[in-house]
Amino acid sequence: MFEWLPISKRAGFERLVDLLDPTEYGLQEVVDWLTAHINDKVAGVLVEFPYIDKDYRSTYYHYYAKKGRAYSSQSARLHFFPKGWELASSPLTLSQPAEGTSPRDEAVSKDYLGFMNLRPTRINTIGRTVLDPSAMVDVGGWIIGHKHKAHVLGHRVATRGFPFMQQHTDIAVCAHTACWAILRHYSERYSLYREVLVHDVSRLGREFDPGGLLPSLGITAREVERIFAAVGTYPLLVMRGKDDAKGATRYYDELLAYLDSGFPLFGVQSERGHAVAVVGYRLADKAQGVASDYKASEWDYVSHLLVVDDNHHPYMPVPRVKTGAAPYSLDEIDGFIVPLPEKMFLPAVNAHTWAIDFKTDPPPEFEELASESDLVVRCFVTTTASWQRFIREHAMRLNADFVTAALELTMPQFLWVVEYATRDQRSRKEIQARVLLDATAGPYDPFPAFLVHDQKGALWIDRANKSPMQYQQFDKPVAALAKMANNLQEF
Amino acid sequence: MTQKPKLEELGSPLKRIKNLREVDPKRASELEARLKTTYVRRMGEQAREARLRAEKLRDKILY
Repeated sequence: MFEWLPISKRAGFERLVDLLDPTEYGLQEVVDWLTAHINDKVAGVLVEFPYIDKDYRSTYYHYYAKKGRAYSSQSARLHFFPKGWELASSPLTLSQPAEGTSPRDEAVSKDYLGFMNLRPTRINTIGRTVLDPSAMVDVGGWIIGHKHKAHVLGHRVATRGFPFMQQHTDIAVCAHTACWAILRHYSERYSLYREVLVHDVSRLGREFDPGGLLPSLGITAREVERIFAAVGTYPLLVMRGKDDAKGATRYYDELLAYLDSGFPLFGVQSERGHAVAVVGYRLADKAQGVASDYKASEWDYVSHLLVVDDNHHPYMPVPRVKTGAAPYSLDEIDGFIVPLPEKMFLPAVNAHTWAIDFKTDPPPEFEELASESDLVVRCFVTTTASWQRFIREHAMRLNADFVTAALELTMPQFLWVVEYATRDQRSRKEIQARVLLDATAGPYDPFPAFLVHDQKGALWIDRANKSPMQYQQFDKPVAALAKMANNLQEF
Repeated sequence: MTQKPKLEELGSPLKRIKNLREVDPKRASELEARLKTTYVRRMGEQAREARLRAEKLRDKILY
């Protein structure tokens, strides 16, 4: 059954209590959550009941059905729509002025702002949720996301976002929930990874079935590594050191390099014993801290990390310094686990350290890397396929022979990209020079590059054919080089 | 009619680029040598410390 809730300026969610059991679905908490975090863009909610939520069912079959108190097996689902959409009753259909009472799937999908499942667990009832970041209060920045499908009144629709749910507190705690969110993103984004339900996550970390009380006692970071490994990723655990402030490459340079590569991070707050999924960041034009200081790394221009925190909400901005509204600052995230694909042998710390080192004394063809006094270094992973797509899109602005070689050079699936940009170039989304590093190179390979290029020429190293290092001088300098930004989406 | 060579016989795609000049091998090896004494040495030290730090985090309970 379906009912329509009109929403006006974040008011109207309270009518949910007329449609669902307020105790079973913890509706007062849900209404407060929606009023606090959903913005004015949402003008209507389609309430669907009953809805079979596979994630809740996985915990129902293995846990809630065994309890003395009766728990329903049925969930409810809320679908969020912007202004213009309504529910027509005879026949039952979504309608919108431009589309009438027979809207096309594409039209519904284009406006669809996401869904929220409500599970009948009385406390922490917000289950699997994917919300378009543009429908959330105080969201802005670069966010990892992907399309998540839903079926609504016969329409096949999709919303772009990152999975969120509140922790169950008993069968799954924050660490399970952060693992689930990251793994659900992976299974939707990459066909390589299988879907993992909430209850599966609580079992994968142990050699034996941890049923009973154990999941509520939490899991260790070692067990989180095991969960990520069990589904076919290769987790790398990084913890902040005490001397990082002075290091050429710091913990946060590594963190940002993985995040900017489109890898969501399992963020650890070791003092609190809490875990979140780190899914994005917010950039500033000026270096953070003392604004007049020159800072050489992209991290120094990040003002916030954006996290999916099961105790709060998706895309929550975490500032550098704790302010009134923020529950914590980003320096409390003192460790992370990044679930990497198999063929990533060169870690971010190497790519970033190499990039900083290379620019201090570059080959004479790229002497501007040493002479420019305000270059900022950015590192991220891309695939050769994405690199070739980028070259294709910018081919008319590049040297023709360079484009041919860039498309023909044999490279592995993953590449580290290093971009050097002055502060002015950063503000125009342009760069000074770019390096492609072999992500399959060993950590002690002194020159793991395939290509170094700027507007004047390119240094090529055909590693697959063991060719010597060769320099290509362009006939004339090419147009300003564009920044690559294809892993995260800007909101 | 001359037969084109097979693709697998062409070798490096860089052979087909105009205005390409080989970097003096001595200069290339000097660049590698410099990076060995700075970047590679630093990575060796960093890897040891990172491994010890990660081991400390592995037993933290998250709840």
